[in-house]
Amino acid sequence: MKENPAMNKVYENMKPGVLSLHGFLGDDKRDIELIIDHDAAELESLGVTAVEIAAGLEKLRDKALEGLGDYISLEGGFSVKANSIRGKLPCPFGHKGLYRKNVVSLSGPGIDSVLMFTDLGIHLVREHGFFQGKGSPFRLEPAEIAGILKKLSGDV
Amino acid sequence: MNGELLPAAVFFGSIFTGNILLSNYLGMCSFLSVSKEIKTSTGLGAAVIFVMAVTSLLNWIVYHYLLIPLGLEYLRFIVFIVVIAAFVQLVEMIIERVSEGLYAALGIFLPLITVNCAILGVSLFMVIRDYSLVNSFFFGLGSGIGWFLAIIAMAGIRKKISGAKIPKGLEGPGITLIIAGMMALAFMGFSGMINIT
Amino acid sequence: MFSISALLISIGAITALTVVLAIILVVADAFIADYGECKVTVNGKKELTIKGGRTLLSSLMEEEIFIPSACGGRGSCGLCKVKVDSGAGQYLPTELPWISPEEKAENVRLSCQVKVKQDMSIRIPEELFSVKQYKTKVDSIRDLTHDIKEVRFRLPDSQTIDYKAGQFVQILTPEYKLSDEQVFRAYSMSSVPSEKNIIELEIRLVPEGICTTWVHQYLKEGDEVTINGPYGDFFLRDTDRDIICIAGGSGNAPIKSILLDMAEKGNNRKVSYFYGAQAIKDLVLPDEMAAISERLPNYRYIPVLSNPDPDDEWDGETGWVTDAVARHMDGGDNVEAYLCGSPGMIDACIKVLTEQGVPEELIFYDKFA
Repeated sequence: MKENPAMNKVYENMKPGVLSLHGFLGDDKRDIELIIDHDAAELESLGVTAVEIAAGLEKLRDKALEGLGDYISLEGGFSVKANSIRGKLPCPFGHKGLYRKNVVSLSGPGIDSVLMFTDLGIHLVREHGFFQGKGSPFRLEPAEIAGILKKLSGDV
Repeated sequence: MNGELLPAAVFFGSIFTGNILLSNYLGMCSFLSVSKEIKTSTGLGAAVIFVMAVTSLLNWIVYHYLLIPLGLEYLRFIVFIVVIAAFVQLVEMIIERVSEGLYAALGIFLPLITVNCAILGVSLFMVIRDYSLVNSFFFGLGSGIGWFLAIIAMAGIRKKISGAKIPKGLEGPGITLIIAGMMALAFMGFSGMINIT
Repeated sequence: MFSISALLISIGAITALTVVLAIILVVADAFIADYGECKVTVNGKKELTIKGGRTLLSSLMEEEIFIPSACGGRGSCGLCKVKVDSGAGQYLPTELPWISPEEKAENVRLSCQVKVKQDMSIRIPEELFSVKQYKTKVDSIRDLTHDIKEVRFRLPDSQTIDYKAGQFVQILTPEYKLSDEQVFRAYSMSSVPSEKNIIELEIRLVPEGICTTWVHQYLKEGDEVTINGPYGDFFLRDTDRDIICIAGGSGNAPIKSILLDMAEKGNNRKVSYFYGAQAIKDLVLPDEMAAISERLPNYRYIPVLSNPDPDDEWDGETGWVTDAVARHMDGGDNVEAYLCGSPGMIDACIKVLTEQGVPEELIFYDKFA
C-alpha cells in the first residue's frame, strides 16, 4: 500500500534524520495508516477523541511555557517543562505551516522517567490522529496520555 | 480468432464490457491506494490513458516485427516491461521540458505507472487476442479510459462514504475492495453488448 | 540443439533491445534535459551564467550565494525562499505548502524546488552576498554548563569572516551514526567580530536534536566542519540610548559577542545584562560575563535564578528574569533592548519593557525562530 507517491514522501519524511533525529516511526513496522487505525480504536474504547487529547496537550504546553524553561508543578505530583529551541519543523504529512520546536517534558506518578511531546506532535494528534510509532521518543500511548490528562483536567 | 472486430467495437468494449480494472482486476494496487482523492485520481488516470495507448502500439510493433521473426514470443513479458519502462522514462523527460504544469499534474505519477500491471496486461491481452495494430491502439486507449472511469468513480464513492460508519475491520482497503466488487457487478450489465475477446 | 542457439538468440535479442532503449534514453537525456546556459540576474545587477537543469538553490550555491536552508534542499524546511520575478514557471505542488497568499503575490518561491531552465531574474536580501561557506576545523570544545558546550571553529588561513556582533551562522551536520542525512542548523556566534579567523558558538544539547547531539557526543577537536554565514538582523544599533540585554539558555552567545565588541570599541553606553537561569549550574560563563565590566565602564551583569538548588550559595537576584528587569528599570524612555531566548521568554520581556515605556520598535530580538 505504499504506492501512492504522496504517501511515499510521508514515509521518507518520517525516517530518522530527515525531520527529527530518531524519526517518527521508531521501530514500528506497521504502516502509518495501521498505526493511526489502531490508536483510533483505542481512543474510541476510551471514549475520547484525538482532538480532545490535542487540546489537553496544548493547554499543558501553554502552562509549561509559562515556566520559561523551568519545571512547573501541577496538581497530583505532576510537573511540566517546556524547552524552546531555535527553528521550526514542518508536518511530515506535507501540511501547510511550520511548528515551533517547543519540547514539553511531563513527569509525575505513573510516568516512566519522562513523557515528551512537541508542537508538531500536537498537530499530528489533532489533524492526523497520529500518535507516532512505537519506539519513537515522542510516541504517546493514547490510554496513558488520556489517563494523565483526565487527572490533570482541573489544573490545565 | 476474430480479426474482423471493428476498432470502434474494441474501443467501447474495452471501456465498458471488458473494463480492464473491473473485469480483470488489474492495476488494483494503485487503484486502491490512489483513489482516496478525485484530484490525484484524475492525474493518475490521465497518465494511465496516455501510457496505455502508446505502449500498446509500441509493444505491438516490437512483438510483430522483432519477437515473432526471431521466434522469441516467450520473451514478451520481459520485453514489454522494458519497453514500457523506457517509454515512461522518456515521456517524463519530455513533459518536464515542455510543460511544468503538466509535469506537476502527471509527472509524479509516471514512475508509479511503470510498474502498473494493467499496462502490461493490456499489451499481453493484445497478443493473446491477436489484435491488429489499429485495434491494439484502440484497445489500449479504451482500456486506459476504462481504468480512468473506474478510479474516478471509486474516488467519488470513497468521498461519499468518508463520513460513513464502517465496521472497524473493513475500513480502508477492505471496504474499497467490496465497492470495487459491486462496481464490477454493475459493469457486468454491459457484457451482453459487445464481445471483444 | 534447442538450448544453446535459442538461448544465445534470446539473450542477444534482449541485450540488443535494452541497449537500443538505453541509448535512446541517454541521447534523449543529453538533448531534452539539456537546458544550455542560463543567465540568472540577481537583484537586477549581478548576472550569473549557470548551466541549466539543476535547482536554483544548488546553482546559486555553486556561485557562492548561500540561501539559508535547513534541510539541504529536500523541500522539507521551507526556508530557502527567494523572490523570482521571471523565469520560474508555475508553482509546483511541492512548494505550495510553504507559500502564503501574500508571498505568492510577491512571487516568492522555494529555491530548492525551482529548476533553472531559462533566463531568470531573482531578488534576494542584499546581505546574503556577504554570506560565504567555510571549511573550518574544530579548535577547541569546552563545557560551559551541564548541557551547553562552547565550540571554537578555526577558518582556513586564506579566509576571514566579516560579521556584526549578534549575527548567526549555519553549520552543516554531516551524516553520522544516528542520522544518515545532512542538515544545516543555525547558531548565534559568541566570538568577537575582530577575531576574523574564529567562529565561536555556544551550543545547548537539545533532546532529540540532530545537530546538537552530534556536536555534544560526536564532534572532536580537529574535526572538519562546514559552516556558512553570517545571517540575521540581530545586532547593536548605533544610537546613544541605554541598552538592556536579556537572555536565557543558549541566548548568551550573541549578547556576549555584542558586549565584547562594545568593550573593544570603547563604547560608553550604559548596558544592563539580565541572564535568566534556573540554578547556579545553569549560568553560562558567570565570571567571564561579570568580568566584562572591567573593560566596559557602564556595564552591569545581573544573573537571575528562578529556582536555585538548595546548596547554591546565592545572594543575587531570584525569581523570574522579567520581574528582575522591572525592579531594576526606572523608566524606559531612553532605553533600547536586545533579547535572545525562547519565544515565551521574549514575549514576556516585551510585555514588561513596553510597560516600562520602551518603544516596541526599539526592542530587538532573536526569537530562536
